[in-house]
Amino acid sequence: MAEYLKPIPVPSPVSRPYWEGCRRHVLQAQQCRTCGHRWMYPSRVCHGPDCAALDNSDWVPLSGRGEVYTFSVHHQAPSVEWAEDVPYVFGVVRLEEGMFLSTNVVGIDPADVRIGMPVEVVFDDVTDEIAIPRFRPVA
Amino acid sequence: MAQGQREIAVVGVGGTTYHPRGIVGHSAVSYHAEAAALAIEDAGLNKRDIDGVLVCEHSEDVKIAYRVFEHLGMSGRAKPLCLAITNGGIAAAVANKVATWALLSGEANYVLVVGGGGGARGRASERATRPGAYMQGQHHFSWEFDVIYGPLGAPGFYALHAQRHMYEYGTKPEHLAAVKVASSKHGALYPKTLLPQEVTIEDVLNSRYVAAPFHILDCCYPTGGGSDAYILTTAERARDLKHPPVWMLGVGQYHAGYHVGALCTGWEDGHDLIRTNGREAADRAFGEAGVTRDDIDFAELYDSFTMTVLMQLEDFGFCEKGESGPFAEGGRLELGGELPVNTNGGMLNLGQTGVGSTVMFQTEAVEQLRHEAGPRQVRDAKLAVVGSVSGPMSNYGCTILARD
Repeated sequence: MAEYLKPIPVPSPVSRPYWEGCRRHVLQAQQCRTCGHRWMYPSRVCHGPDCAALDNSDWVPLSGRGEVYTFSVHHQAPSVEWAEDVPYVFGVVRLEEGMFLSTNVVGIDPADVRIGMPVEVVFDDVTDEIAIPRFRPVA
Repeated sequence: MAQGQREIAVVGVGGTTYHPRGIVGHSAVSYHAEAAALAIEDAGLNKRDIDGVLVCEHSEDVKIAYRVFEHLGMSGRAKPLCLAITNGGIAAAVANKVATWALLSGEANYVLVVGGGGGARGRASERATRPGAYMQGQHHFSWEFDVIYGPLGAPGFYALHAQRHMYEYGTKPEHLAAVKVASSKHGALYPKTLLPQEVTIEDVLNSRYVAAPFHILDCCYPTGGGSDAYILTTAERARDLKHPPVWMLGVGQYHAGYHVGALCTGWEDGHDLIRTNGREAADRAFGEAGVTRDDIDFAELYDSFTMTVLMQLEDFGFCEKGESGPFAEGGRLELGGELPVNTNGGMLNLGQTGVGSTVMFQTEAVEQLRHEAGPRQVRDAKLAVVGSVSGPMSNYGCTILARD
């Protein structure tokens, strides 16, 4: 595996199950055992509007499908590690389950990306331990 | 504050020269102390009268407020109020609220607000040549869930708002450019402006893409450093000072968090990525002030990007939701127009100090309301709105200022 020079996530005790899922190529979210609310971005406290359940959630698999909610074609790299990638797409995907995720849209000419475009997750195995979820247009 | 009451006044303002990027003249503390000393002199106060110090900055120096206090030689007298306000671009509005609480409760008598700071960040394009530089200026974004995808710092995130706004409301690149065109005309009239050249719509559209839909001329200009300051006090104290008071009639602030995923998700009250809580911040400020949007003579709106100004125009209620693009056209935002915006060029032209020169918008509004703005003066300026935003367009402040 070629050395990956861009930043690599360092899982925390809270986010480790998310990244374990990604390693197995399964996108997951937390679901509260108290109120049933599901949310993206790992946290110890439930994100349900009226629920403050602490450390009481399960990790549940998601479909991995969604649509492009918004995006930016980046023509300038934030640092040298992305210099050969420009132009590339940084954006937000709305998952079928309703959550939103920052990501890259890949597998398409950046000039052809559109809001509302159906996309599906594709995992980029950047190390033996870490796979980063990105999204590509549904074939 | 009681509705429409003239209880709090701005009585002194001061600002340093802004150094161009690449020139690193002073530390943040040094810039803050210079601006503060100028504001104290402008107010005609004795230094020992200042009993509240609010420093608007989110540098890594978590003790910055104490350091400013010491650098001003104020250590001889302990203060009841000394606080670093680290909310970014919204910090001056937060400071206005905190100062109001302190002044009206009698906790403090004269509150110094200072903000800006050192530079040395340089343009993203310069940082980009250094390995590992992706973290600089991004410490406030999530490493684990955002930075891994290579967002270009603030432009990368604010571009997401602009793209979605264009999709939902038909806003065009020309509309964004109109904001820069108007403020560049104002900046050309202001001696401190670091980018004094006037630009056209075509200039903006022909400038290089940074994070599309943003061109480089849609982005504010980070400076090498500089600070601005003002002093707030109560009505009875304000009457005896050097300048006629500029009244702070109303302050609203509303906060929604930070993460772009959370912003897109939205809240129960209907806010989301492009329907921001700027509306609530403005409603609170206008409610306190007892004035309407139609009464406002000019606006100083936080302009990290051209889109940031459009969002404030519509969410503060100066036009219908989604209509800020067409509203920006036809010279409406220029001096002599219906609502002059950013009368000294704003951060797009004058330059951005520290991590968001939140205080500068307020000091410019005060100079205008004192009718001391020279060639860039808004005629008969009596009532101003000052907007502040912290990113990515998630937290809003709105302050209303008036002269007698």
